[in-house]
Formats: sequence, C-alpha cells, structure tokens
Amino acid sequence: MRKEITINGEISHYSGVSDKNSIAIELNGKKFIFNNVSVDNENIYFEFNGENKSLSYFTHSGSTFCDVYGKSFHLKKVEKNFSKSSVGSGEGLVSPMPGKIIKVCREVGDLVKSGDAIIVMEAMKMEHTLSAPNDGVVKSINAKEGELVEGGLHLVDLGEVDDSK
Amino acid sequence: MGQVIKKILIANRGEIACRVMNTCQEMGIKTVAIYSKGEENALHVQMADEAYDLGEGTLAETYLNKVKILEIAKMTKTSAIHPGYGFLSENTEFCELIEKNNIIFIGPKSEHIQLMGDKITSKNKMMEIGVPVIPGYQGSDQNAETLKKHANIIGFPVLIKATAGGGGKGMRIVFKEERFFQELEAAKREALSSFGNDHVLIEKYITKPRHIEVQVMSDTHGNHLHFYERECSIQRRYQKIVEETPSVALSAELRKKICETATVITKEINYRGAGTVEFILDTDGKFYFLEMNTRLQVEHPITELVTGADLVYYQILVAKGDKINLRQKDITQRGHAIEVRLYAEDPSNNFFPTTGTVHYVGKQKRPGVRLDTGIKDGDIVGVSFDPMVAKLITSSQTREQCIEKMKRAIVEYPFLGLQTNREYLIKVLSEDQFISGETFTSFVEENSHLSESEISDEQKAMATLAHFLSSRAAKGQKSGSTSVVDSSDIVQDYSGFRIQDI
Repeated sequence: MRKEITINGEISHYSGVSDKNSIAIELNGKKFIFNNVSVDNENIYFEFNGENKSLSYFTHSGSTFCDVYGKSFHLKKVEKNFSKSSVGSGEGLVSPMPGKIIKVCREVGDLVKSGDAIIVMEAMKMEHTLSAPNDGVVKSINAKEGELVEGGLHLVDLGEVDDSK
Repeated sequence: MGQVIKKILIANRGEIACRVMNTCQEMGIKTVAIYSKGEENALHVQMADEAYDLGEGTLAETYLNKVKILEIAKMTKTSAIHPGYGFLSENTEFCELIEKNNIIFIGPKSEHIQLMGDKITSKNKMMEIGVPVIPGYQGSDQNAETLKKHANIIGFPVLIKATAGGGGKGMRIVFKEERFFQELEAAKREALSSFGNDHVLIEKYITKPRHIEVQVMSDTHGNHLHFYERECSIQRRYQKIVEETPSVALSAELRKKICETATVITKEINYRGAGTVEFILDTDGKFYFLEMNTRLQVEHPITELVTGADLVYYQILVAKGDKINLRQKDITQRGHAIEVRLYAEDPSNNFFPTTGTVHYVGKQKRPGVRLDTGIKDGDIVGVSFDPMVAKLITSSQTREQCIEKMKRAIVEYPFLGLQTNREYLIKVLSEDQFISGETFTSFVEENSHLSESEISDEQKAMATLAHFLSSRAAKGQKSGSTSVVDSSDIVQDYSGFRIQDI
C-alpha cells in the first residue's frame, strides 16, 4: 500500500515490503533494496548497493527523526483531513526561522503590493525582511515589535483586494 | 601558602558549566549552579551539589545579574566563582565586586581584563613592549579625511573596525581607495547602533591570514607558562567552528617564537591565570598580535588533549595562590587534536539558528573522542541562548587520523530532532583544501558551496527505511505481533562498521 509522507517537509509516496531480513522500499516510483537489515536500539544496520551502512533514528509522536551520515531527516505521515485545512486558501507570511521581530511595517487593513516589506526580523546578526508574496490587503498580523518568535509561525494573513468597494 | 577552596559557584550554564564542574568533582570541591526559568532540569543543574534559580527575564536580569549572583555566592558560603566564558567572564566590575566581598574570582585581576578588553590600550601596550601589531591608525582624530590619509599610508586593502566592536559588527574591508568613504560611513553607522559609539580604527588587511592563538597560564609566583598554539582559521561570521592543534603552518622555530612572544606578554603585564593570546599569521611567517582573551576559551579542550593538562585544574590552583609545579620543558605536544562546534543552525539558510527538541544525543564512547555538551536527551533548544549545543573533540597520533576520527564521531552523535551544522562540518573536514592544511580565515567564504544541502534519492530512501521500520514497530506493539527484523539480540561487530561517503 502506498503511503503519503513528508520528508523534510516535501510530500513523498512510498511503500515497503519485507522478506526475511531484506526490505524493498519504493519511493516516488524508484525501488531500493536493503539487505541484512537489523535494528539495535537507535541504530539500523543494513547493506545497500553492496556496502555496509548504518543510520540512527528516533520515533516521537508519529514523527521519525533520522540521521544519514550527518544529514538530518524528519519524516511524518500525512494526515489526510488535516493536510487540506492546514494548506488553506489564504496567502500570508510565515517566519522562516526563529528570531526577533524588529519592525512591523504595515497595519491591518493596509493595501500592499507584491514585494512590499511587511515585517523585519532579526536572527543572530542578520536582518531578514518578510515581503508580500502578492498584491493584497493585510487581514491580520500575529507579531509585535520586540517579540521572539519560533520558526514556521504564521505571522501575517493576506487577503484579496475587494474591487467592488 | 594558598587559600582553601571548598565550594565554587559556576556563573555560567551549558557545556562550560558542566566542564568546570567535572574538574571540581575531580578535586573534591563542592559546586553551586545557577539557572534561569525553564532550565530547572538542565544538565548543569543536575550535576551541581546545589542549584539556585535566577528567575525569569532577560540575560541582564539572570546570568548577567552581578548582584544576584553575589547574593547566591554569599548565601551558599561559596569560596570562589568560576565565570566560564562569555557572560561575566571579562567584566571588570564583576571581578572587583566579587573580590571586595572576599570571594575568589577564578580569572585574572581586573586590571588585566581592563587592559586587554580595549583594543586600543592593548595594542598600545604591545607596541610599548615590542610585540608586533598590525600596522594601523588608532588615533582620536575621527575626521573622515584624516582616516583616509592614514588608510593611504597603511596601504589598501584596509580594515575599518569599531573600537568597541566584536563579532564582526562595525567591521568593513576596503579594497579600493574610491570605496573608502562609503564603507567608513557604513561601519560608523553599524558601530553606533550596536555599541553606542562610532569610534573606529583603521588597520592593514591581511589577505591570506591564519588565526593562531597561544594558550597561556600564569601563577602568582612568577611562572608564566604556555601550552602551545591552536589554529582556529575556520570561522563563519567571525566565529570559530573548527579548531586544531598543532597548527600545520608553524615550523618548530616559528612555534617557539610565537609561543614565547605570548609569555613575554604575560610576564610583562604580570598576568594571572588562564588566557589566550591571539595572533594573525601572514603567509610570509610574520605574525601580529590581535587580542588577548583573559579567560578560558571555548576551544581549550584540544590543548588539554595534546598536552595532557587539565586547564581548569590549573585555573583553580592559581586562584588559590598555589604554585604551578611545571616547568616549560615539561609541557609537550603529543599527537593531534581537533574540535568542531556543533551549532543549532541551518548552513543552507545563511547559518540561521534553528530550534527543536533533541530526542537522542548519541552515546557511543570511544577512546580519543570527547563530547562537551550541556544537552541531554529530551532537552529543548530555543533561541534564548547561544546556538552552540556541543563541542566534539578528537585526538589521534596524526592529523589525518584525527580528521577521519572526527568524521565518524560527528555521525555517532546525531542530536536527532535538531537541525545542526553536522553535515556541513563533515564536508569541511572532507574538503581537499582543509585536508592539505590550506586553512585561512577566508575558508568558509571561499567554499560557500559546502553550505548547500542537496538530498539524493538514496539518502531519502535510507531515511524512508527508518520510517518504515519505526511505523511497523509501532503497529507491531499495538497488535502484539513481533517485527520480522527486530533483532536487538544480534551482536554488532563494530570493527566492520565503516563510514561511507554519501
């Protein structure tokens, strides 16, 4: 059965079949065979393309965190009804990383053009400007100047300009 | 005769607090930890004999709160305070306040902090005692025309630097005369907004510099020792990320010269305790004094691994007023050591800090591998503190072996759940330029391609294998059936475990 997952935020489809200690994974239409698979606490050992390999992993509330030779992975099953609503129809701005809100340049109700600066953030020693991705009207702002925010937080909602007025 | 130290308060947190406590425990000295809201279960709190809450608030209200820390020290009848690095470690007021209250400050005298804490007074002192400094202008005449005149005398390229600066702020490299005024204005603007002072200095910009520093240690009986050099040329945004010792750039003769220059300085200023003298080394073998850090450095463990010395032990010994029973010729370098700094950051996104829960740090123990961290499984890394989560240090007979050992160690400490610079560090260590010892401070910029992160289908497939196994194990638990592949009883043969290039 094909399953929908996100790999570091990217939607992917996979299926897995095991036969004794071999596992075949089909990922986005490509097939990969892992032989001599064994699990020892946080480590998985296997043979892949003729080479012995290992990786470490950890499962936490439905997420799998794993490390492939220094590269970090976060895999998560896509929840069907959840995925639709979280994408939503509204456009907006999301904090790209944790940091401090330096400046909120616009107010709710303001008309903005694509590329207009709405929020200026600071993380470490650098400033980062969050600009409108398209023309629209600012519907809500979920950030205050001086506030510390996490990465991935929805900061600004943009709506379509109502031409009828 | 020396004083007695029975209890030490560590005015710091994270890995360095744990590091200091390790030596205190070794010496049979009781420890007091301090912490802020949310750190109640932090490793440094758990390790200490006593721990006190600094409450909620900004750093100024917690780890930089001199009065509160002094109160805790008095209340706990602490004999000495170890400041670690950062925070109050180079704060003259704190040092004086502590000593006025008859508590030992484990560090230099406040006059040393004062002298070395200011770029101009330290540089003037060096010129006075004949230590080479980078040609430059540090005058009080800040007129733009005057500054430009001096830039021309020094010769382009020049560096414009905020006098009160640090961490690259208010710093500009000017390659051509025409750009001078524009860059000066930018440097002054940055300096004013960051330090409230737009005073700048101009100096010669060295195009292929290496950062070489010397570990020094002085007691109060006239012994001014050095523990050799560390090369810390690999830096991103003026912060070191890979350090090693010995430096491949030093001949035996040059090593002797640079290390002895460091002890000339400590002798001349009658220094006390641990310190680091930083130099810039040019390709022609000339070196110039950069600054002196009057504290224990982040990268001190590599020195410990090649010399066998416990630097915190000597710090405490000196603070008690005891004599260091070592002669310079007893201190030798054996083998090679490398340190990498693990940061919670995303190299592919301009090294921006990341946050998350560390579900699994890693637990592999191997000889010659040291992990200094204040993080344990389940800890949350937020934005309140420095994003350095750990230091990984390896030592080996040769530099080549040491590099390979480090690449393996990085893989064995995955810090699962947190995006770190680990993959980036592996790439740095695998780069030809690094392997051949062509390590200049421009390395990170010149090799900017290393910070790009591409994911191959094979890597994704391996990650998916982990997801497949964990979701099946979860299902197996629910239904009571056993997983086909669960073979935790299989004995793993580590000798066959190799690091593969992916």
